[in-house]
Amino acid sequence: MKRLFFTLLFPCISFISFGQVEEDNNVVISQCVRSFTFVKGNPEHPVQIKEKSERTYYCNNYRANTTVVEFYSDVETIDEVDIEVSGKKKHGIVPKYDYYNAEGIFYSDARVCYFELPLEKKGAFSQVNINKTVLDPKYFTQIFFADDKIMEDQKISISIPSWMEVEIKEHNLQAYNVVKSKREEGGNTIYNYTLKNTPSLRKERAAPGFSYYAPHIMVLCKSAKPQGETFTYFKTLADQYGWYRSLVKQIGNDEALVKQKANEIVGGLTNEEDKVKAIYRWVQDNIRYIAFENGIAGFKPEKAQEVLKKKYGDCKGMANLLTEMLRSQKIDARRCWIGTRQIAYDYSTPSLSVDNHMIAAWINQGKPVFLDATEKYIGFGEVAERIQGRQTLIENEEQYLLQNVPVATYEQNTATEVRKLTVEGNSLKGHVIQSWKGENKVWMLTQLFDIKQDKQEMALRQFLAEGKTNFEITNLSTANLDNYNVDLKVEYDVVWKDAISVFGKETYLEINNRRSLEAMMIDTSKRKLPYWFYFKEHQVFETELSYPGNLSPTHIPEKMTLVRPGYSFKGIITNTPGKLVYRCEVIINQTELKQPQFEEWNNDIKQLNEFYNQQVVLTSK
Amino acid sequence: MKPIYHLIIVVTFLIPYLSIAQTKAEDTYRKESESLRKEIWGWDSKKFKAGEVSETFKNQSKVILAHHTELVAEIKSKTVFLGPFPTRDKDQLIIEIVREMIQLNDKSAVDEFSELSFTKFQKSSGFSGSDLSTTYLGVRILKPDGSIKEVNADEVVLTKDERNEKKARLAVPDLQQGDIIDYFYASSQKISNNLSEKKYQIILFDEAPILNYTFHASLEKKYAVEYRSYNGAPKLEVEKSDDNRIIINIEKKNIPPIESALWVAPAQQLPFIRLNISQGVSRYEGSRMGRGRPGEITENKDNEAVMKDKGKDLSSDYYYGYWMKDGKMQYDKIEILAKQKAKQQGLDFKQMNDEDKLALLFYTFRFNNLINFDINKLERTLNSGYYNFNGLGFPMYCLAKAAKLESAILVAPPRSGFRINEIMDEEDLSSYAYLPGSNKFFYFNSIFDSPFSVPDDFEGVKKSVSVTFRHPAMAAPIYNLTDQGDGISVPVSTADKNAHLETLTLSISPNLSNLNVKRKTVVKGFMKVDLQRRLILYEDFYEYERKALKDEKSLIETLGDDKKSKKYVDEVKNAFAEARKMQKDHFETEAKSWFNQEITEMKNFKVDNLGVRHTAPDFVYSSEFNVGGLVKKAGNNIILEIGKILGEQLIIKETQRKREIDVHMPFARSIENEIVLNIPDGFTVEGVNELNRDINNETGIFKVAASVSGKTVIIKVKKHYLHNYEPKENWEKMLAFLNASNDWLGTKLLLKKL
Repeated sequence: MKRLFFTLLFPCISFISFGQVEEDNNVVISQCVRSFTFVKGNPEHPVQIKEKSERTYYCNNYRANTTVVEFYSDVETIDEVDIEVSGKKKHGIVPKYDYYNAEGIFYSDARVCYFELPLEKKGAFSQVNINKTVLDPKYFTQIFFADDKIMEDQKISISIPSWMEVEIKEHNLQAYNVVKSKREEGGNTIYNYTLKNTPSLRKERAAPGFSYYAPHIMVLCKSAKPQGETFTYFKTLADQYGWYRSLVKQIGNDEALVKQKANEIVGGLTNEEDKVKAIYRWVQDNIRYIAFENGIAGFKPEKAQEVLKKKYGDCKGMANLLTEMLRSQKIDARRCWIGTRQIAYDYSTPSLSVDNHMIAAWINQGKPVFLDATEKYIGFGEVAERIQGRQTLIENEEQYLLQNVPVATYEQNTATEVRKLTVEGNSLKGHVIQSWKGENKVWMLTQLFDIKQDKQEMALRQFLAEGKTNFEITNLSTANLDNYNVDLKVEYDVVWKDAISVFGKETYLEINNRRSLEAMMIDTSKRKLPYWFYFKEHQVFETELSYPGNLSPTHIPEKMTLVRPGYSFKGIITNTPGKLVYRCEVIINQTELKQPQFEEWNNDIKQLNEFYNQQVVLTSK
Repeated sequence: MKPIYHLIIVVTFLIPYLSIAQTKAEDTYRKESESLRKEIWGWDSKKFKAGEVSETFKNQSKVILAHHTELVAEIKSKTVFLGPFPTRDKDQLIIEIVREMIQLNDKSAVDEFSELSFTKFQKSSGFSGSDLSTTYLGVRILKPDGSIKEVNADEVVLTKDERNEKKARLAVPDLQQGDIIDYFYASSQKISNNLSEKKYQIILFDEAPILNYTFHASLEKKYAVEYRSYNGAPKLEVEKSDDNRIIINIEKKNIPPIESALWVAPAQQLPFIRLNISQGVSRYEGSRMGRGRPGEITENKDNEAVMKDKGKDLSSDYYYGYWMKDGKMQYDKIEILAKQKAKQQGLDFKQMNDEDKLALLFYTFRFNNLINFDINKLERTLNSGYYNFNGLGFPMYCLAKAAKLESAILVAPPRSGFRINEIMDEEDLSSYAYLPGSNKFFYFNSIFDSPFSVPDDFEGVKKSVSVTFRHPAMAAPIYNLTDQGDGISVPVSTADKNAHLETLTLSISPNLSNLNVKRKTVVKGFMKVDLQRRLILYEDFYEYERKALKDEKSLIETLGDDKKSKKYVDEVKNAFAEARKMQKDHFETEAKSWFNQEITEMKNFKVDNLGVRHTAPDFVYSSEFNVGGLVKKAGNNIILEIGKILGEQLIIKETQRKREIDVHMPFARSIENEIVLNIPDGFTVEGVNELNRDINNETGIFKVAASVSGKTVIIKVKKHYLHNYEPKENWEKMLAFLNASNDWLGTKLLLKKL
């Protein structure tokens, strides 16, 4: 994973307002004035960007403290922090400066300056002025026009001197009534943006990344000529690729050492695909993913021999090792830069904010097969939802290739459960086979291997029984726990106690206790952002139930068929003499549910639950 | 094992340079780190030579092949000048090395050790000098082929890099399943003029098997040592060397893994050793401070000595906190306020009996000191319910004493803490104020407490000490003002006193798909506080108490009448309104977690009685909502999954079904449901008799009595845990009623269309 996008970071801190139903308007930013000015720097950093921000906080309802957070890094410095509380400079607030510990990141150069800002009473103002410097235009990529607080009056200006070539690209401004202007002044081009009453940025679970909905601009720094020399940043994608490639050239991979290990892994294999599978699997199994995002190491892959030696690496380190190992076997492999689906952009805008991940590709008869070794349990040829359909920048000598990762169908992730049961007293007894593919398999294996091995079988039994003591599992066997290229399977015998209710001559039973998506109603009073499923879903639940000859079905629920563009739910129960066959299939083939779909989705979930709830009635003859 | 402390002491003396010159300090740190690793890896110890792991443990996630703790403590004195006056400074140097060699058998174990974090350097400055602490890390990996790979543990990344604190993190390279990790943390602390005890616990149990466990300490002769073994832990070997150093050893082999069990009192059930070391002091100071003399070794410190120490602390509290004018004044003020409140209620404080007086003092104290409104701490005030107190034993005693009520402080270890004859520190003891004679307690563990209930952690305490105080003039030293006598045997509450009672009226919704629930909940005793915290608003609490104390004006009116506070009335109203807006969510969340079902259409939710007074002790709340998922259509009929209305029941896991240790629960308790199901028009009900259950044994009860009465089904469900403790022999009996309640979750009723 590459460098964190600093301007994006501030919403990641949990503020009270995020989880609330209604927007918290107690403390607002009544005025926010920010200016960004390109200036001539020094020989080390010839072009710099000076940011001045003046934020006035206002208390609407009752006195409170609010946390002010400002991020910086190796390439972005905080030069001055000036705080006023109710107009007073004497307040005793000392900002703290610390490393920013982001979840899942082992180490990054992201740092945070933070402090508690008091709003002393209703109607009180407090003021925070911060001056920052971005040391290299390459890293100055986005300006967001939203905060964790409502911003009542916001003015942003960007001053670009004539010696600096910059393109501004606007995103999501249409919904915010933005007043824009552009003027020339003293040889500078000045862009002004004015916004009124910008709502606070929402954070919701399973939602798109901020760049999809937050108002912001991308700042595309193309070139600069502050003195005599011209500095080219990312004028075109070729420039960006050129920079990435220059970093790749600096890696210093030890080909001999890598080859030695690769030879060992593919020993005895002759087929190219088998070799690719073996090496990919080896990297998945033996290299731990640990994210580093410090300085240039946020962009430059670690040496393959170092990753090999340490047995850990970030995505770049893993992709580089995989590529080098495959190449050592004379297999055409490439490093690929990619932005995961949380990023709204593609490579049509050359910028460091476009990508955040690196994978490898095996070029098989001219077509890339994408290999993401950070997905520890994914099978060969399977791709995770987070990169499906995403544009990739594929290494191709001095040129580059742009291709999209294929989009898998829901069938990549099929999970099936097949039961053969008979009636015994008030219980159902029989045999169950369950299997998982793709990302459902990844999820299962991730959960399972996070558990201590002496507790794994018990944990698996508890998972399969959903914690219920009346679902007694015996003779549990597993298959393919260590072969991700085939389906994960479990088989077991079950006695499902009290699954049947007998009232007089009638026997009632509810066949499906899995009830996929049962609790997936969306609370429309709270949810404002689209819902993103983690991956496409396909769940098949089948039961063949043999019942005694003295019983005959007197009520079988009607079949249910709901087919929508993004999903479908189907359920049917059929009867042949002495046997009921139940089948329920749930498909999510589009992972995004947009707000206008929520009502229909909720109605459909209600219908799905009604189908689950319907009882089969068998009556004694 | 050969002694290692000489080297480490040299290292420790170099520490101060770290805070002077960063580069030089780093260089020094690396060199010292390297020396330490050389020394520690070279320990001549068989247990740190990796051997075969027994087949018995092959399925364990990890096996601790060897654990060793090395503790070295030195005291150095020097003369320094405080202004013109010479004084003796005493620096302590404490070095602790913990080395472990662990076989990693699975991914979960590899993940656990793949990243190591520690505080590399810390400096804290005080009046008497600076304390410095430096930690070194060593890691090596023993591969299955017998090769050893040493990690350059100095290649850490700093996650905090301040002048006074440096936190570090290491990603352990080349660590794989099947490897053995051999690592140590070595920390050295330089502490100036600190006479406090350093406390160590030698824990002899773990979730992983431990094949070899050793502890070795070498302490300078000026230290005093106290130790005790608990729950079958072996005896510590303590001896003096030729140069009078105190040498401590313990060795234990083949410690089996423990299951993380339910209802355990570790202090009374699991093996460990406590070791306290402190600078020895003179006999005079020792008697005052409760510390040993230089070189004094005390095994199994007499618990009466600990009680004496506690007495000294209480004496000091009494002298400064009550006897001195300013101390007593605060309690006198409460008494004056209480008298006013009595008058407001038409009562004469003087004529009230002692218990009524005490109750009024208690409530006045709460109103004035614990739930008082403070605009400058608005957030703290609104969240008053979430704060815990330690019983406030001493202030409560003073409150009563100032009003001339005969009271005392009862001191004992909490029921599930250390046994009274095994206490080592004052921290092992709790103290609560009570009225001797009636033996009634008055304490605050939270603002929701009422007077005269027994604190849950004292229930069943058999041995205790009752403390009262003498007039300072009658006992010269201010640290010896207590009279200590035998305490009382504290009673245990019965299950009905700690109860959660649900009255549920259930109706099937007109579309026959939902269950409408009208709920009234009564919660008693120790079951209350968690729910009170979630559901009671500060404003409601304040106003309830204000009315009970017959204060005329509401909080808002009081604020509005005062010139100074008038200006912030609006913002207080706004803050209260904001809190009230969130109350629906709190009711919804509570119902979801109790019934373990989706809850919709929450309405008519309210707190009927706060349960914060001894005269109205029950917490009562009510609400109305729909529960989905329990009503199932079956042709024209309906199946109602009535069992699920009990909500989530405790499930005893497979591994917990066999039990080898006694059962320590927090308190006896009961959960009861009285369910009235309205049979919809046009339907009859079947399956009522099949709901009945009656499991009743000496440990608990699960009883269901169901009947039909006209157009309703009445179901009474009782689940009682009869005691707070059961011997392990009774575990099967407990399982009988616990399993019965779990099985009942699957019961159903048929509503049959006529």
